[in-house]
Amino acid sequence: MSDIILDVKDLSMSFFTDQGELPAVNRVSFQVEKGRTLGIVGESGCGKSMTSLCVMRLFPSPPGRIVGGSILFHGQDLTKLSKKEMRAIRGKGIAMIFQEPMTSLNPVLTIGKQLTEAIMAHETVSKAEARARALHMIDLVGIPMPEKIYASCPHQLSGGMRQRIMIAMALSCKPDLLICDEPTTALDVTIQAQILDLINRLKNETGTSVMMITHDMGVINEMTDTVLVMYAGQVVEYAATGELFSRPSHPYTTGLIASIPSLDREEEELNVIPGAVPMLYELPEGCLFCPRCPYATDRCRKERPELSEIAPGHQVRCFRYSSDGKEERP
Amino acid sequence: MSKSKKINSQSYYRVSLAILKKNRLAMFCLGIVIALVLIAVFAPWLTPYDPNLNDVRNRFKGPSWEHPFGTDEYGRDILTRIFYGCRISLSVGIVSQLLASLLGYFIGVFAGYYGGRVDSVLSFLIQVFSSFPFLLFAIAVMFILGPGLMNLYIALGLLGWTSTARLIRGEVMRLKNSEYIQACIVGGGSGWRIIMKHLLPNCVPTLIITITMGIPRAILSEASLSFLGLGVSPPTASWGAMISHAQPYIRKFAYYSLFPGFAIIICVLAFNILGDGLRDALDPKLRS
Amino acid sequence: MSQAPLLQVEHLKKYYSMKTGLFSRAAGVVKAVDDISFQLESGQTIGIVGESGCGKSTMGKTILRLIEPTAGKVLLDGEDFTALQGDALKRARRKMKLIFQDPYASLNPRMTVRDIIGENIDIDRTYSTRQEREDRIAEVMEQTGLNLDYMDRYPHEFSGGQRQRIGIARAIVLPPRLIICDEPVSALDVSIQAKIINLLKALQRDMGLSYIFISHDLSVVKHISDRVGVMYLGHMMELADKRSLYANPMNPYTQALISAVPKLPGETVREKIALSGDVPSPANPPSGCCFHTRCPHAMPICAQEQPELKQVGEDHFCACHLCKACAAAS
Repeated sequence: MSDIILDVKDLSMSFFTDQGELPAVNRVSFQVEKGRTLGIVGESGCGKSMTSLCVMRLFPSPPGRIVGGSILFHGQDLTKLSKKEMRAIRGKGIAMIFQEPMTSLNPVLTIGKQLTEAIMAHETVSKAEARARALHMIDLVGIPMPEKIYASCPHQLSGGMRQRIMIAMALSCKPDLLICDEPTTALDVTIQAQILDLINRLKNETGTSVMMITHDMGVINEMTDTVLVMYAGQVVEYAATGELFSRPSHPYTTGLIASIPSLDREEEELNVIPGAVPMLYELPEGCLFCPRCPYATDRCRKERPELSEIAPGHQVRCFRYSSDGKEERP
Repeated sequence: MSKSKKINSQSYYRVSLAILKKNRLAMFCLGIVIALVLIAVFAPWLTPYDPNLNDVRNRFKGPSWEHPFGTDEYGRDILTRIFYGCRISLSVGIVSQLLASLLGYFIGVFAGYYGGRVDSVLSFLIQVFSSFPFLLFAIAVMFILGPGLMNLYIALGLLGWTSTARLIRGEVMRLKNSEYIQACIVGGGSGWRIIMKHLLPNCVPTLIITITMGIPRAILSEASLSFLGLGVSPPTASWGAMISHAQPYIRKFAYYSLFPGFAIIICVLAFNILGDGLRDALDPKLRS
Repeated sequence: MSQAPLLQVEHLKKYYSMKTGLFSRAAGVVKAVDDISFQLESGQTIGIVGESGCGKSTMGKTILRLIEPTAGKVLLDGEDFTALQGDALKRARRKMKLIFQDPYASLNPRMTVRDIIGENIDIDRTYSTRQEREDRIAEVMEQTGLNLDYMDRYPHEFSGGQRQRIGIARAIVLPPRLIICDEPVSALDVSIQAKIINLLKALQRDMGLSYIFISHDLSVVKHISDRVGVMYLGHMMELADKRSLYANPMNPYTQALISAVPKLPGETVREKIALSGDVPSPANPPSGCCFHTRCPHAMPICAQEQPELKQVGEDHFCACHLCKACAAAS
């Protein structure tokens, strides 16, 4: 079972500003299969959120513009759709939940009103049907007493509850793809566990595919099937989740994983990646990671590496791995 | 190698200035304001006439090369009187607003910073003062103090502080829980240090905006008071007083009231647009 | 046991009275911090974990008397800090400093780095000459890894990690004995977080500092602390040596908290203990044990009686009716 519902090829999006063209998303390719979860991980400013906003065509424009590549959703290129056609896809085909559930809900409308509106915007159903569906959705996301929540306003709910409502709203039109942009970053650990559990359960029940954008390697490990590691707008590693953790290959990925304090091990000093993420207007000439890379060679400083496949389905953007997949140690 | 971009240290005000410079209309108005200030300062050198010298033979001369804006009922050159009136208008605007802002800043800071009972009393005072009908109260104050420039400063300064105080109070209530102030308290810093070192510099943008926006209001009030004969005492030239004196002749000699009227409009408009531009440049919330 | 510990917190309480309506009648009390006691030895770190609203930040600020405590004592070097006034308070304040979570809000945007770091020197008039002041500022900037060329820049020109370094430099410019770190790395990316944690550890080694490290991130707290306290709704639920706490959590809340953290491969995966529902409102806390509404093992007594913090092992304290060791100890 491997129907690909989302196929992103060589997607590039740039901001056109006073400082020139800033490549926020730089030739990113990935695929999302039906019923599977793709994770995008990276630090702030790496382009992970922008990639997801490109899929939704919700990135700030101007100054942003897609400058190349395609986003095939069920074979239809989203980059070529008109605004109106895109609006039909959003919500119905692809839905999205954000980090801050408070700002995503309208504070003056009741939950019920917002849910039924979302349903009726995409489907021709009667008010009563929409209401029944909304109540069913509230029930589905594990909120006791749906009737009570249906009539309340967003500010009466806790952060976890609001995120559940956002998920209910996102799933109310049975989208094929759910994009979650840091869905639990603003929540407490125990609530985060509840929400992640909920997303997983609903994914299994509805067969929706999920794109999970996060900075938390733990969430990636527990939630995703394949992972995209991004750095400065580029994909630096793309692999199945198990493969990525058992054999992290890009120096950035290994550095990132090693800098997380462990709950089990004891270490005196945390591993650090020297230097800082480059700004988009001062990207280095060669490999984008080479100023911080412990293995950087002269070649790295002059040439930009391409993604190469080092094992089936495991791609790395690094000269240490030649095109035939063998590791070359300097 | 790679063209590394050197970023010079940019203080908040330098960034604001760069934003303001991009706003052509505001820069144009800044030019007008500067021109008005220069006119006010150099009035005696800009015109050969004495603003208050009567010359009955030259009464009501229409605009000509000799008198570009004509002369008034005493034969005084209107352009000259507008130049000298600019002194009155600008000084009233600036002095009264500085006074009002100073008063407003401290009342607002004390109310916002100390809170509790101090805040209750001061807030009540702000509410009382802002519920007076502004012009009527100014008339009453001027009536008691008598006409004169100093009294105008005081009357308009005493009345204009409420909006500043209210803005500053809100700003301070927001700022006083900020972490850098907590850090200062943990370091043993005194209340005075916090008010002068942390709150004042952070309130300066608000003050600049309120002063700039307050000046045209004060100028209009001065004009109204002078129009009513409660402003500066004759024969001192003031735009409002000139319009007032021109009133009986408005049908026959329209230019007499029109020119001082234009002067008021241009001056007020310039300050208002500049104030808007400053707000766009200084308010961090409006910055992208 | 000859010397008094650096800091002793005894039965610290902070209650807020809630006022409602026009005529401000007290409508109830919020017990933000309720009867917290612990000790901290010189050169040691105590970690405080808990979810949002558990009172951990309020506790930190109450110890510093940024918020005046309702009851209880804070002894600093054996001196009753809560009773100090005027100059004595100012002198004692020199021993304690605070580092904040938000590297954007914690630095005055209108001051240069030089003046931000130098402020405590200016307040205390430590040095008589300007040169001494400048030298000391340069020294701490080097110590915290800041580039001296940036001395006259404004905070907005720095990245989050660098701003946090400025905040740390401000705290140590007059060497304190104790720093209360209120979520100092929560707003930072993982790789930057690692650098800041390493810096804090290095400073502790070099200067003999003690930390109260407040955070919601269990793995970070484990990495940096010697002892860890777990807070819930203003109460200390468990307080223990970190090895003992993480290896053998006694309180059901601690167990749930640790199990809820998304794990990396290779970390011991305990069975997830799913907590239902949200944290109750501190304005209307449950009777008895504050955790009983969500506790998977709640018994009738839990709703009636509030458990006390009792010793259950060597340097291991727990407040729970259920825990057998607690019962044995009583």
